[in-house]
Amino acid sequence: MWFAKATALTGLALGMSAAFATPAAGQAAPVVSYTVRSSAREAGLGFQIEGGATLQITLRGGEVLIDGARVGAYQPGGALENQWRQFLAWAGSAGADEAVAAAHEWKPQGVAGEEAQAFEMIRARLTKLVPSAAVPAPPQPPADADIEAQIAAAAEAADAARAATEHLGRDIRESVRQSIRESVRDRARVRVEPEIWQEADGARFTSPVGAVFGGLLGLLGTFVALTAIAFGVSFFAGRQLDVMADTVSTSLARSFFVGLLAQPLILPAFGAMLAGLTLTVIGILVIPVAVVAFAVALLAATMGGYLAVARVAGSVWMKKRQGDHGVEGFGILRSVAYGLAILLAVWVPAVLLGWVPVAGSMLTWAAVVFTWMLMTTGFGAALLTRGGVRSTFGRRFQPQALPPASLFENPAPEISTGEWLGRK
Amino acid sequence: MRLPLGLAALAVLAAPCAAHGQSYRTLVESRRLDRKEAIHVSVNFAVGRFRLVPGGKTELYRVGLTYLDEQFEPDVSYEPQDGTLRIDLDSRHERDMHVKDLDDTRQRLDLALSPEVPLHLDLSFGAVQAEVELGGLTLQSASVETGASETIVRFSEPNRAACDDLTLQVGVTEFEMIGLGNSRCRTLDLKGGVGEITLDFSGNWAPGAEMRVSADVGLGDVHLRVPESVGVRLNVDRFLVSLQLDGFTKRGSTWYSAGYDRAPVKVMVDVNAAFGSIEVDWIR
Repeated sequence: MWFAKATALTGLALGMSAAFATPAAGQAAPVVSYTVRSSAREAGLGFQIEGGATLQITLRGGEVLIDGARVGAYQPGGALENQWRQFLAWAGSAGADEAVAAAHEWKPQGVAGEEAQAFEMIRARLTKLVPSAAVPAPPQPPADADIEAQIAAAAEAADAARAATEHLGRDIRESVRQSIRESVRDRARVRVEPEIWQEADGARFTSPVGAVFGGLLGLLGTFVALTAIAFGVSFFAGRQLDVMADTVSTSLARSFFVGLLAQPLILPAFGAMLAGLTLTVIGILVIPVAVVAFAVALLAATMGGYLAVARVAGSVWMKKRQGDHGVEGFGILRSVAYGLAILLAVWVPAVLLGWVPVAGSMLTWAAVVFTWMLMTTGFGAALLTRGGVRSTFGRRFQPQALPPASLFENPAPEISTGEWLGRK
Repeated sequence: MRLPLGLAALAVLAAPCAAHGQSYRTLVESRRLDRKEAIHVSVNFAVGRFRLVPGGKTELYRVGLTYLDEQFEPDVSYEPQDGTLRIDLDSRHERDMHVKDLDDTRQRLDLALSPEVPLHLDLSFGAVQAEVELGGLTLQSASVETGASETIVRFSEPNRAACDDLTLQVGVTEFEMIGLGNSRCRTLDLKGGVGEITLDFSGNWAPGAEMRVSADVGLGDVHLRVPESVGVRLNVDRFLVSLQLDGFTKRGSTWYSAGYDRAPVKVMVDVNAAFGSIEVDWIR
């Protein structure tokens, strides 16, 4: 490999003197710029000539293309391609005139057959290129023995450059770097490489492990947060939560449709409130407070309603497992926690299978719609009960049933006076 | 100069071997120096590492770009009529993607610009680690806009032209500008988002030089590093911002460094900041 590179570079360099010494500037327009394009699949060199003409030579997929037209063939990974890539590597570090002069003298070693014919086609076009009049002095041809050392030195210089860049990054405080990266991950609209690409047999797929794990963690976090909120609500507004839960339980359909119809009215109601306050002139002063109060009320109704639905779901579950004693005391909070677990469980399939094409999207949408329906029902219950204050739509008061008769002391059967006296 | 050239050359050589995991592609473009009039350079680089250096005397510009073939689309174009060089590297896909770690990508852009022609520079970065050397160029104006980036801009040597204005718009960032005394810019306009911003006013100031700095900073820290020979006048409009101004005295609502009135070089700073800190360190 190194020997082939050394041979190519030597041949390249040896021929440069003549090319630089005899610029054909008077015969044709000189080259003003050049472009090297290289990837695993292709390697191309393009020249732009003064006046607008161009020359593009590309080796791609076994074909040699000049200005897009096929002029020959080469063996991928063969002598022509290898030495063409080495030539491009050299040209990539040269000036336009140096690249032209080097192109004149480029001659790959060990090519034969179709590759030799293709090379002749390339050579015929390259030799027509003209460097500009102001040709710089050519570099001295390197001695054979020095080539490997020069290549090694170039590699070391490149490594040093990379190390310097990395050192630059290390100088920056790690905490700030971390925050920047988190910001990139979380909110950047920056388009970056995909998450975890793996390549197998040319096919690409995204590893779902990270996304699934992150999704499950997100669900767990949501559950913990909602449970904490439920804990606070059960202490400070336990009765209101009960009333809303009763309404959901006894007027499920009514709650859903009230919530459904109320949603489109939220913005008009908000606008009407602002308009009303504005019209009263003095009310303008309280608009900021009213806006905040409206938002808080909306949030409280939605959240409280959702928790009420969770409580109903949890109560049903607990009653099935423990009977009527399950919802006493701390059992209320427990029922909400069970309910939240049940309601959030609809997201588990979406999280686990969200990466599956089509099915993943369907599961996600199903979870979204189901959650929206539950929230709508809870919101409706909150409206019907005026935030848990009015229990009209809850269960009706039912007096406690009389204890079973067996717990009473049975009165003694009546006996006649004679019998009584007889016992005496 | 030789550094990016060597990197570019090795990148081209190594391209066939780079297809491990991700497929990278390289592009090198060079144009000979064929004009003396000013050029306008616009760079829009989404992700990766960026480096800008003064180029050789015979080249107008040299671009060395290594990019993810299937994810990004490069556009390098030069208009000789008006001397506009445009370099864009943007995503091929509409959808947003996530970055796991900037260190994982080998995507980079090396740019060398001729010090011989006047230059108007417009840099725009996304998630980028950037190192920009503007010293020794003939810079007439520059604008740097960053997203979530780590950027260092240096004037290691004096600017070869007087610079009208320097505009910085930084997002979530670690931004450092070193050697502003070499910049020969009359005004510096800084709009900062979130992060840490350092402005270093060292360098070879022309006698009697003055620079006006206008900084509008959100959530972040602003460090000003100033040589003792430079007089600083500071106007601060702040909200919940801590000030560390050693050696300053307050006259009215303005802070003045010691000996400001007699200083051969003056920097007038107007800062509008919220939630952060402003600190002036003296370079002795």
